[in-house]
Amino acid sequence: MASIVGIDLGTTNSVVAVVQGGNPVVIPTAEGGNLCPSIVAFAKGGEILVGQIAKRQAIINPENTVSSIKRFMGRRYDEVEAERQIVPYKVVPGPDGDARVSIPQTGKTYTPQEISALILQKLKRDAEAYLSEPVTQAVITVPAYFNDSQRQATKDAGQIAGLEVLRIINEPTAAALAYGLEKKANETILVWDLGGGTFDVSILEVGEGVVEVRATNGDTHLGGDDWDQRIVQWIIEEFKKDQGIDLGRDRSALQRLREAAEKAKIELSNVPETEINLPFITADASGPKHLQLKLTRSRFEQLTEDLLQRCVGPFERALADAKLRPNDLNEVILVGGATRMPMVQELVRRLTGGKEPHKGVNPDEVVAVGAAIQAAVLGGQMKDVLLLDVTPLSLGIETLGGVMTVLIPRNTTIPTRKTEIFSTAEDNQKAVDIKVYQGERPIAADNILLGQFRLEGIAPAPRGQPQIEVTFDIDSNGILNVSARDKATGKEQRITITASTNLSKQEVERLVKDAERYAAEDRRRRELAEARNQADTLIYQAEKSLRELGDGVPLADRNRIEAQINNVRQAMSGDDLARIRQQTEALQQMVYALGQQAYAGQAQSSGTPPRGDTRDTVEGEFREV
Amino acid sequence: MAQPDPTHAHEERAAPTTLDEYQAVLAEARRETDELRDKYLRTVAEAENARKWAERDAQARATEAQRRLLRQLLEVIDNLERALTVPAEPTALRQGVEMTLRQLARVLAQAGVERIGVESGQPFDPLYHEAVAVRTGDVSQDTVVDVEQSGYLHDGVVLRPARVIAMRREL
Repeated sequence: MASIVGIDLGTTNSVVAVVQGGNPVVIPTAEGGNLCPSIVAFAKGGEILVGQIAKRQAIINPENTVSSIKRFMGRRYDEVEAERQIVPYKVVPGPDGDARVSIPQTGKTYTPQEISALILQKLKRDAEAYLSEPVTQAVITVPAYFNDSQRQATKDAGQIAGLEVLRIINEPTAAALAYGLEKKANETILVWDLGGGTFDVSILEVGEGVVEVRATNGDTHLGGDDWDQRIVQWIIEEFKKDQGIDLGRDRSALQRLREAAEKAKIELSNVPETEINLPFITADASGPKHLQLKLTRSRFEQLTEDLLQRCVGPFERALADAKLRPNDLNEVILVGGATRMPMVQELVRRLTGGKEPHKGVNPDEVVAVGAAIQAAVLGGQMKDVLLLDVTPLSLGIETLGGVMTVLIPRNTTIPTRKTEIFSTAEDNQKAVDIKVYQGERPIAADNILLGQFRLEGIAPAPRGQPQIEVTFDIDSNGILNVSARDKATGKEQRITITASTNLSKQEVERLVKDAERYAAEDRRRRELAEARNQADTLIYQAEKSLRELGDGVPLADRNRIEAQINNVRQAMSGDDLARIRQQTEALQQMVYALGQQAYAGQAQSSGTPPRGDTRDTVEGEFREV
Repeated sequence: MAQPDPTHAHEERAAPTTLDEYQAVLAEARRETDELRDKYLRTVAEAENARKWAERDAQARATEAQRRLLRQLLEVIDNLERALTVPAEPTALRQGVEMTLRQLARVLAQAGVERIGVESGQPFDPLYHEAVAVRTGDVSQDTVVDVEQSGYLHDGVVLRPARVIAMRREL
């Protein structure tokens, strides 16, 4: 089935995504990277350049290079006076008073639809290259405030590009779809979209799968680029104070400053302080000058405080238009690269009464991802996928020392089946207890016991020898079958657990959170359990060797080893991990020495080929099942 | 499995008695089998495709991560080159910097990085060049005047375009 793509046709950048095998993926551009600059250029040679390449030649060919075309989509010439002043290309009135772009290179005028179509065509080509199949249908997003004429223009652009536009959806709605929030019942969602050059706030209401835009507001000229610019200004001032040289007049230095500023901004989203190092930034009579500055996050926040405050007004107006108070908001979504800045997240939290916003790893791809999901739903590709469930929590059994041994990890797609071999912990053990647990804690008892059974009639054998095959099988309805089979006798027991997925979402979240909260303590307990298991195995080996060698062991050695076994037992009864390990290690050394001695003695007395005493025991971890 | 799948349980219906009825049941069963086989094959194919996509995506991600690192290393090269443009006596320090630069260049070359050769006077080509400043002059086409920062390719893909000062025809 041909894929339907989702396209975020943005003012500064555009992104195309598709759902593959149930997962949305952002399609990289032919030049690399996921964002395609929304720039079209008519080059002197007659070719049309789109994206990164168009951007590179923008300053040498400004009157034939079109950026920010979205600001003119579906608009009348007399509506866009302010925008016309900013762009370096020529905007002219069309026959119906619509805004058009005049390109000297071709001597023609183009509608914004035609320019947008060139961007869409490029995205289509990149998608076709990535998917190795023709792409003919798409879902395209538009700002929530777009009117009918702007939406129609976007749809037309798709058509010109050879794409059947199955649906035009609002950008904030796409963001909500990306987070699966459209399924919520009667919720109010705030979408806070701070991109490179535009800021949009939308308030959505969802109910029964229908998403309604209650209010929108924003600032069409506020974005992450403004934050960069503040850092550039700050660097220039600091350098002037320090060196008396104005880097703002040095074009080549300025270029490096801009890049360094953006990098610093990005770094400050993760660390509280960053260093700006620009060696050989300039030179004067005395020689080369280097730029070396430290910028802290708090200084950066002071420098941009007023930019941040400019976000507040639109938010409050949108809220007032929707006749809501901050507490009425149920969910908050952050969209746009600039929302990675901690100050923006903090502001949103403060304005919404401490609500934790949804924020993905790539907030600048969220809208395209949502569009791709909508596309997949329209194409019927989501149907099959949605039927497949996942196990919300890990499933496993208790093994020696109370350890939780996971057979099916959480988030495994079902139906699924997993088999593992376990063994006994004691010599001549006749039965094993299979206790089935669900949860994320490493100690079985901290998890939920789903059920248990006993497999009896295991043939007598030294510990570690019997092979007990334990199988977990979850069918598509979430019904879990656990069976245990002794491979030697073929004896089998099983249990069916129907309630393995009946936990509510809140319960699952609580259990996962608990596991995170207790992670350190749990790790210690697990290590303790494992150290005890190792000690136990070693005691078993030592006693076995002593028994087998009988009088071959000098009495002094025997007493020493027996004393050490006692030491280990004592350590095991306590909680001191280091002590258990230390005592076990000491015993280990003695067992080695014993083995070597016995080997030497045997070789001397009988000349039989060497045979290590510890060789009979199975290597690795014994598990009681 | 121990429990019959309740969603796939067949509806109760009267046991067939006539040959026609048996044939109808058989036909229905065949149709259902075909449908299930088709679904099964599609599912297997889907899984296979998903595996391939995942492989390709992992490869692409690894390449992209490598390129990110390489781009950062290019800035180190830039700075070493800047250091060497400072007029100075041929001291041991200068020689050391030169050697360091050559060493780094070699490491990058081994990783598949090559410098984009740009000469003053050649036509401006946005596939490989980024114009950072413009002069006007008597040229028939857009021309590179000067390279401000070298560009590099990685396995033939532009890692970073060459930053150039370009000249356009006087209007």
